[in-house]
Amino acid sequence: MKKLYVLINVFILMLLATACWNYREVEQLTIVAGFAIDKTFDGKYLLTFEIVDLHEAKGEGKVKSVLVESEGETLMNAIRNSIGKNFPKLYFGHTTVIIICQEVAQEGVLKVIDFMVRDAEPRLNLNLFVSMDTKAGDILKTKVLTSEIVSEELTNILDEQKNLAKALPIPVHKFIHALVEEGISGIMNSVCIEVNNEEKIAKLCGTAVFKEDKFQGFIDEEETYALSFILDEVKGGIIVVDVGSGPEEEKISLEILKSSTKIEPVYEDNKLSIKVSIDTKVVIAENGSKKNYTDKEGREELIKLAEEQLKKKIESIIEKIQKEFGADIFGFGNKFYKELPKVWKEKRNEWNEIFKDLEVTIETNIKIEHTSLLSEPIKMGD
Amino acid sequence: MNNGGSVLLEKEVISQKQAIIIVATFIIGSSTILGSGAKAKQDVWLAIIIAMLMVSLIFFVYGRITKLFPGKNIYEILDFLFGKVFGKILSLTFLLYAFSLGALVVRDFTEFARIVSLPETPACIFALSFIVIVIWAVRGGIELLGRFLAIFFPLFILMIVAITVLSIPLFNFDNLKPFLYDGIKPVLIDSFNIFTFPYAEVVVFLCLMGSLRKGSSVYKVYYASLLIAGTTLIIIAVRSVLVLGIPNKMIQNFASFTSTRLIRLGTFLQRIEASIAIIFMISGFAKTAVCLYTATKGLAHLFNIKVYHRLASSVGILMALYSIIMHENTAKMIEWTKKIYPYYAIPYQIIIPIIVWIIAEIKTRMSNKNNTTKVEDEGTGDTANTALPESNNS
Repeated sequence: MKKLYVLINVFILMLLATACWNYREVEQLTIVAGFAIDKTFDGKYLLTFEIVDLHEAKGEGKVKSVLVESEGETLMNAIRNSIGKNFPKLYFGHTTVIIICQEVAQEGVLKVIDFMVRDAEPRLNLNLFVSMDTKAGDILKTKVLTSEIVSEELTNILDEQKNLAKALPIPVHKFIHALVEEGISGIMNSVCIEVNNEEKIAKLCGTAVFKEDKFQGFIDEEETYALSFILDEVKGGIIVVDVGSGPEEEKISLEILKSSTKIEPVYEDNKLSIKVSIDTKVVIAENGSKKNYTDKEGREELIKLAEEQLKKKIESIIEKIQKEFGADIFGFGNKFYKELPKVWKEKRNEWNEIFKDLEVTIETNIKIEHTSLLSEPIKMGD
Repeated sequence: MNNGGSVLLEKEVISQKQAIIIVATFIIGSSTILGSGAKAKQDVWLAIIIAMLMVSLIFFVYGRITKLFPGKNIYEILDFLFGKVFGKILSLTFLLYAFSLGALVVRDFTEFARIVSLPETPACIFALSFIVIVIWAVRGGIELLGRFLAIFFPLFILMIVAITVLSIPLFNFDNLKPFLYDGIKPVLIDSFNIFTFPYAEVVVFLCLMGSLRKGSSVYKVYYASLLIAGTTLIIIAVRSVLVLGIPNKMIQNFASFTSTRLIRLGTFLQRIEASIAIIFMISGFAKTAVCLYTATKGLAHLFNIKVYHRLASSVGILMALYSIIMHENTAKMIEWTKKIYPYYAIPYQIIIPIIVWIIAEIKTRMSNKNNTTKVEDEGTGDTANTALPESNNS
């Protein structure tokens, strides 16, 4: 009797221990590394998926990517329509990149975002891009220089931006944050095609500005660089200082070690204004002039020039955004909401108007930490 | 399982430490995945603290009821206070509350597993396989649950701490600003919601506290577990706000799960959100087990069955089935939990305990008076029993 009892238990446990119901092997998954969203002439979505081809990788060969195109009336529909061409179901758990064409971005990206966030597979830290002057799908067709997968390359490039500060990492959750939060507009990275060594490659080329969920326009890399100072996203990069006086071009590179930005909202005499103060620590990385900038006077002169030039760059981007787009991508309104909630409550309905003429004062503070290995400029003898 | 009736009929005893752990895990329960603070937004921490203060008042009532009748469970107390017929009716409502609460937790578990990882598996598979383990635990008695949690609770806390520490690089303290933007009202509404779910659900422990080992204080159990669970819940809620920010947190069904998904340390430590599922499995298991225990015990009491263990499987399976049919879909479930549940819970969490408490005070006072005039020994013994812990806690 007892034996029978044990036997029954064993059988029940065997049934329970078979694990998952809808069990899928890795080779039955089609891993999507990234995808691009375009529109066809008849208003349908055209999706281009970059798929990591695992069949090729079974040996020692490199992992390759394959492109699959698919059309549909909605995004989900287009994704499922790919089954007609490619057997295993697409798996979005490892997707790192979504490229949106300008046309879709102009219509509003809310539907793209909604789909990505609602589905359980994609992660909130995948990166969003807007393709500039090209179809989004074409970006995925470009040649990759160092790895095999375009999406992976784009993600790596974005990660490496900490040494350049000319693009900002914008994962989906940050974009949603900007979309929903008060007094801040969203941005995405823009990507374009460039010819390098006679081959087409994908390249980051600045930032796409959004107002609500609608695309407004692009700003270029230099402007993105200034923008990242305001958004306090600078972790490295170069400040180029023009020290040339006269016909000769003389430039000095300062490498940024650390930078921090404080934005302070001010409310005085019923007028709103913003104070931005930027503290940057740099080292002299390259001296392109013959002058000595390591002694006290030289350093002071250099700092003064650098501060002025940086300030100018930042001021011009703020003005451009205010005048051309009127979208508060800096989050100035958000600063009022956080720091002066009472003022924000009164003014929030007029914010769009206020922002266009908002007075922004910028203070730049640059400190030279050291001058690298050299203590004197290289002096030429005769 | 056939250890003979004699063992089962013995009175179950749990130590104070075990009781604290059980109550704390029970409170943390499904709040590990279901976010709180829909209205209070960035002031959710304040709402939780206010809820804790409100709850500490009602916990005094719960503690006092048990203290007045040492060694008795709520059903015996109801019988004693309201007589056979009315007492039984109240017992029935109370056990139905425990039953539906248990079903709700099973449903939370099912929905979570279905949405997050296994969308094609039928709901009944989750519910039934989950309830089998819970039934097993309840058949083993409440001591078994105590011993189980004594092992897993440290692990449980460790995992929550680890996830929190790993999230620190993602923290953005600006997300907690501005403070009280919409005034105090939404915070108070939310603190009431948090009061009913999960804190005051502890009312089902009125059935268990009779098993507390002699010499341990009920108040200590309630307040220590409130402190442990409250801190944990504040950490979980604030972590989601700090990592996701209000805009993202508000649209997520399972905010703490989503915020864990963002954790990424280099390329080697990422995708650790399964740990949230493990945490929820432990706390959900404990919560369901307590609910099932209370419901089973109530049913056994209702029909004068001495060995409640045998009812556990039938009540448990009913609980699992009810969990499947109680809501049409997740959207309805979450809407119901947010909007209707607080009002549904008031009678069980506040009204019945307070009525029981008042009548209990009156009845014991009266019988004490009678006792002191008739038999002095018993009377003094009783008052000493009831008076002591009060002076300890005040």
